[in-house]
Amino acid sequence: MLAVAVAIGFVVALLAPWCVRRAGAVWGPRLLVAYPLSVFVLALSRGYDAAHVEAAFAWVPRFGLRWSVLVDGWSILFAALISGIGGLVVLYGAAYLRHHEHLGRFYLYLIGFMAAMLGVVLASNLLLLFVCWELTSIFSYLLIGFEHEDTKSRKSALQALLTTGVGGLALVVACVLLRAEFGTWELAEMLRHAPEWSSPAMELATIILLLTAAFTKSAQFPFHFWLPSAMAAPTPVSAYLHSATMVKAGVFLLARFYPMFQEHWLWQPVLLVGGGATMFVGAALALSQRDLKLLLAYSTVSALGTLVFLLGVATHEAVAACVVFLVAHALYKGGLFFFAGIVDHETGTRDIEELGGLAREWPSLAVAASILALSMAGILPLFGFIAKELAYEAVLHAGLPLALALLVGCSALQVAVAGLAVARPLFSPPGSLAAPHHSPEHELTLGPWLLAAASLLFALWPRAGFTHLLAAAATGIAGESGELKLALWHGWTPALTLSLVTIALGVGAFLLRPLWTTVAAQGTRWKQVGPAFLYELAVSGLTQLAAWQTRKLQTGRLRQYQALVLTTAVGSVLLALPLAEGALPGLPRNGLYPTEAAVFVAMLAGMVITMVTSSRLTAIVGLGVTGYAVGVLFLMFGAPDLAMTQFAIETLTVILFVLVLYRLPRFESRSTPGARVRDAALASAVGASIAVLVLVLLADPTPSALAPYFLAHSEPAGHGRNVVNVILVDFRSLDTLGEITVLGLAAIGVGTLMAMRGKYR
Amino acid sequence: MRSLILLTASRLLFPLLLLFSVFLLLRGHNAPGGGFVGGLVAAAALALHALAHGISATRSVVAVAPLNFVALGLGCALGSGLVGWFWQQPYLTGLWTSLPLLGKVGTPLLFDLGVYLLVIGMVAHVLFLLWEE
Repeated sequence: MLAVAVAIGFVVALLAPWCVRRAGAVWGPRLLVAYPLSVFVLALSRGYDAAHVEAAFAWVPRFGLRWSVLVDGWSILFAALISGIGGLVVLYGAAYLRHHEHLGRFYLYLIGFMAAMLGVVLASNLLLLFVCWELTSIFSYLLIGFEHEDTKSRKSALQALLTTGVGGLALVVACVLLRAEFGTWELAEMLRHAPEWSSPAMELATIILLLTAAFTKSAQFPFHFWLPSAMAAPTPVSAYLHSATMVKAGVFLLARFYPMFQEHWLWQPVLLVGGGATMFVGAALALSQRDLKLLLAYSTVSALGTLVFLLGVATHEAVAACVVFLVAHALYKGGLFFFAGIVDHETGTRDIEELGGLAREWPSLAVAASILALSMAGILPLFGFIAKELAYEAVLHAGLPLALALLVGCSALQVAVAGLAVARPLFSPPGSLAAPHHSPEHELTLGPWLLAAASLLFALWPRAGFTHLLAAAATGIAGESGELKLALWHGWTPALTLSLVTIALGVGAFLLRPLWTTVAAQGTRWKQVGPAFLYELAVSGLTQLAAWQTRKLQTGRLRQYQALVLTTAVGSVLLALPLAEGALPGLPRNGLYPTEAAVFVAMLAGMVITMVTSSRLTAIVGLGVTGYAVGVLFLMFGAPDLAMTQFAIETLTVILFVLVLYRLPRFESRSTPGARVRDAALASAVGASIAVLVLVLLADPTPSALAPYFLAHSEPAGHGRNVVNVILVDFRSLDTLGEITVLGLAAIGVGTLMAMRGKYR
Repeated sequence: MRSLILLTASRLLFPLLLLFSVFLLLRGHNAPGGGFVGGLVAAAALALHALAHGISATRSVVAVAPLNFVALGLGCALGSGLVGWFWQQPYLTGLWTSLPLLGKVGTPLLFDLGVYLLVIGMVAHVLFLLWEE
């Protein structure tokens, strides 16, 4: 059922533009909400306590590509997040982009992304997972570049695509390695019996590749730079892809392979250091931003770092904390992005230095945004608080004091960021900007309100069936079931003390922000050596390399092309010769018949005439003589098909040559004697290497299996006695199809060249 | 400059050459010949016609733009591969049947016809363009 639901998503995506056009910008999206809503209900109605694979259908059976769905707490939790927040985004986007001319296209991308993302989290078949993974990158590209007339938007989209594309390549190689090791594409079977790896090198390679995929997708340091750039996307997209769902795909992947790799020596150091660095860099950079969306983007980077970091702690407690934090973050960050979008939409700016006093204009929205910010800051009685407490406890119990200090410090920075993102625009005295006097539409405020309510309710009634799903998700990751107790009040624990310290530090950081921004302003110089700069360097280097080699190779001079092609041919023959077995064969000594000798003389005469004549027409006739002589040779050695074709080709070549004759420049010796010597040497080398090649092939004692096969099967299987023709039109017809396609294209190309003649010089 | 000898010869040879090219196409499966060489012979016949009667006369004999032949030929070849799908066969599987009067026919013949048409179209296209320059 779930597999079908994912597949249906792509159909719905294709129908979305039509639906928006027919039903209108208001009712179209409202109809489209039916899809995420039904997936949400369907996902939660599955029995997810025990991991199992749902009935699947084959897609490309030959490659083992099947639509198989792995149902456990972890995948269902993700599916619920994707469809739940997705539903809100569909509604929010309708109000946010109501008058956009490409609203239908927006929903095509958005619903398409939703289906792909569901595919990533639900797939049991690794190939399906990979296909969907790449689709999310592509939809992310399309959505970031949605305002495609904006240069910055296009550039950011490409940056995100290239960065996550590197990860996609790593993932496909990792999948192939896993297939080679386990003999199956099914994730469920791999996880069921994680065996000893046949070689440690293979295991190491797989881990490194998976880490690359996860780190690029989840914007971990040093790949974090693409996520803030991705804020060029419309805000509903930022809320959905770049905070709540897609960027968590990397975390999802790491968690999926957690039971397989968590005991590997590389796992803990890389995840702790990588996640920790991301956590810190994100939080530190967030604090120095002025743009509301960038602020949230950097704090998302930090939160993603925290998730990876918690997986790196690698205890059952930490995994549970990771799950809870993931949900808490999706709720508050999705809501805060909605809020940022409303502010942008209604006031026209996202600069927190300009904004202020919005609470007076939008009292009810201010309440929702404050709840979300308090959840982000991890303050009682909200879900973010529970998540943070769990994380503290897990790290405390794991006995990692340094890691704990880092976590507390970054959480404190997040408190300050939450204050900046919400308290500044809502409660600081109104800035230079006049606040609008009308309230935002209900469809815009619905998202923040629902997510704020969820952040509150999940914390107040943690037992409301929801804890069960979170516990099942942790079980799904770690493979063993453990207890998960969510409660607002644990008594006076060390974690609570740390929470108070965090809040105190956070308030301090908030107050000291002016100092911080001056320091950060000094630090902008560092941008020049940062990862974003290296990315720019790599991309521009690649285009420069392409331009350089194009200049060198594509000179536009026919003689240079020919020289290049022929030199390459001779070179490859020379390189391949040492591979031939045995000594180089000598010339065969079975004598020369007079008829054969006559043909050779004609061939040679044609060549000599071509070389020495001072008339172009004579040269062409000379070439024709050589060509016909070759045809006669074919005939004498029993290849009538080849001979016929050769005759026809020669005839037509001569005619075509004569036709262009008068349009060519005067036939004179234009090349220097040096160039002529070089050309002669090259021509002789080509002739010699072909001759050697033929001799080597003839001397090969092992009989070819092909010739007898074709001779034997031509008539019974191909219904024809002319083996050459049967090969061309039956056995190898796909090759012929390719060749005639090239011929047809060449005809079009010649036509175009003739039409353009004289226009470009 | 019209040559009477060429004119007379081409009047006789042009239909004969075209007939010969079809003959080559049809016999190709069992004896030397085939769509490719057949197409070349037909194109050579067109060249002969153009030499004798002038290029505009040849254009009116061909009646349609040669690129149409290219498209038609490619369509035949591509389409011949699709026939197998109706019998759950992989793309480009050769299928044969016996028809009254025609004898044994199969999708490879259609494929070869595609090659034949495409080669005529391609050569004629280039030939006409160069001739009219």
